[in-house]
Amino acid sequence: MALFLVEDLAVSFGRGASRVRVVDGVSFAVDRGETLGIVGESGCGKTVTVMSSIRLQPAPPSHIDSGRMRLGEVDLMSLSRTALGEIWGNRIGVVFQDPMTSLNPTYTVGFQLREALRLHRNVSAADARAGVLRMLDRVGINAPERRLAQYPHELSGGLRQRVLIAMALICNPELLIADEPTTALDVTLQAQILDLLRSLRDELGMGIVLITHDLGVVAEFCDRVAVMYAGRIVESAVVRTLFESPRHPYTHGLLTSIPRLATVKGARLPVIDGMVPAPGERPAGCAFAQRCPRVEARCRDEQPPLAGSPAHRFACFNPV
Amino acid sequence: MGAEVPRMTVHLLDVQGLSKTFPLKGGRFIRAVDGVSFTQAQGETIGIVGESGCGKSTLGRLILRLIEPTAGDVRFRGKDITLLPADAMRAMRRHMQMIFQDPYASLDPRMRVGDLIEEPLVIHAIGTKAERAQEVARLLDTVGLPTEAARRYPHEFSGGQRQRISIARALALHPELIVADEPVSALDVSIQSQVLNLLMDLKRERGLSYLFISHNLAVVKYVSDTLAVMYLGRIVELGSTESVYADPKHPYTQALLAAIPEPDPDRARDRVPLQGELPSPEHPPTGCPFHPRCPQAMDRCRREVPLPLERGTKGQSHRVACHLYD
Repeated sequence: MALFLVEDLAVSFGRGASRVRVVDGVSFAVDRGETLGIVGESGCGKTVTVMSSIRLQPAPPSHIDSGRMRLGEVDLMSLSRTALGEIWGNRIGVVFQDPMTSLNPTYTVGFQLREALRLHRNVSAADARAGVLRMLDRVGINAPERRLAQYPHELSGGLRQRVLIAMALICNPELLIADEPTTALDVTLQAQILDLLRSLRDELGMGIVLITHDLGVVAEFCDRVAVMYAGRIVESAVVRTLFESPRHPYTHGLLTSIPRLATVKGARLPVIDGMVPAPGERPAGCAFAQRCPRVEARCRDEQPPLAGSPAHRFACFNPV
Repeated sequence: MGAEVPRMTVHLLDVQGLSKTFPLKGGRFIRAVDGVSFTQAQGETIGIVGESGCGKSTLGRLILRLIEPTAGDVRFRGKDITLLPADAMRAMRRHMQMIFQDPYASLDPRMRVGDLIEEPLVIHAIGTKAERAQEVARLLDTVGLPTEAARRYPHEFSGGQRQRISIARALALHPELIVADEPVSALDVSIQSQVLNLLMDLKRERGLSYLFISHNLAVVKYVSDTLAVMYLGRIVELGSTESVYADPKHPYTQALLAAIPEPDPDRARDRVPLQGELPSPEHPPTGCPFHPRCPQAMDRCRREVPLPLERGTKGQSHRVACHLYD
């Protein structure tokens, strides 16, 4: 049984005539010890999808129109705010993109970590301190005692991101949500943080949902991947399959248009023409139809369903 | 790099010993760029890579004198532009233009696109009003935007289109050199390749030379003839792109290349992740700036700053500043 299961999630923003559907019929599952990558370009709905799936997306202004979300035995849709508060930070850890905005600048690192632990665990002050020190050590922070008394602004970007990871993991969550956890970091730091998350995943056996725009990070870090375009999953597969034989023309276009180390210098890059349609301007049929080199007549009228085997699904009438 | 290069031919750009220190409180200072030297031929694209804080953007701005250097000189077609008075420098900027990372911040939101592109022509008093309007239409066409874009405002365009507008504006004066500071980093993946293709087309059609600053090593490899790797204000490795990627010599370059996540699950992952972070330029390490993170650091690296040495083979220039190659 999947650790985390999301079925037919639909989310909209606004009300009345200005109501716009931004996420439409998204389903995915994550097992224990597994990493699912959700990739897509800005505005495709990847963050809203994932944050809504754990009901952390503020509502209003967003509204969950449909969806069944289950963490283990718990039906997340049926929970009250209070009950959700007992799950967030406890059974579900979250790492956000920008460590500076997700740490409180007015409290020390030690205070924030202790609070995260004591909110969910009935531990003494001494045990909380010991737990925090253990966690800081686990995420590779040297001299953890010294860090406890420091404020977030006194730490480097890499240390702050490690503190955030420590905070997300301090209650030993079953599921970790990581929203572009390395996008604000340099490549050598990114490699350090991804290595750290990988070894923590293997050690703690948690499931991870990683939101990213970077297909390189997906290839290095994820087991399975779902590609989103205009609020829907257009392709999902185990990582190797997706990179070796992408079937949706959008995935195929993304993979061929990125310059790689092996790309011949100055050779013309294949491009995806045009732009992503805005949420209110999505066409009736396939949202990619107007940019698609393989478009057929029915693509403009009919929404292709996400079909195939669990190892590889794609939503396309004329796949690559 | 520190070594003096003999000035035999007139290069498009010849940078020698360029440095910039920024003062801090209490009489201290930061050496943001420290003794950088290189030359650029007409039509050559030089990629400058390094992580945040390595001084690559400061270097780009110094070369256009958008900020004033503390030491060193910048020769453009043999003329030292660091000595030019303000009005002569303004005239010189016709030939050297810049494209910035953030097309949202670099275009005045209150100006129409046509006026934004025309502005450099007005400042340099080029052409009549009608001729300039014609030129704006030509420029829009060159960068792949419709003529009616001239009447609209920047906010009506997407990120990729705004970067096209910035490029049109930079091209208005027919510059020879364009300093492009992370020109595609803020763009979505599917839009990046559109803008990269445009930049490569312009290079071919107009014989442009780019100084292409980026943290993305795959993008830099794709556009550059020559590559300069910066660390804490210095160029630690400089050579033809082929030879630097095929045979990275400096341990920092090796770590940087190994850290790039490639969209290929089969790529062998034999990397040793680099430990630690870039030290604060306020307190640079003694000796080689990279030694505290270097897996191969020796005693000597803690004491002596390595000088750039020519270590190229088969007639290809390839300079490296590392004691492993002394």
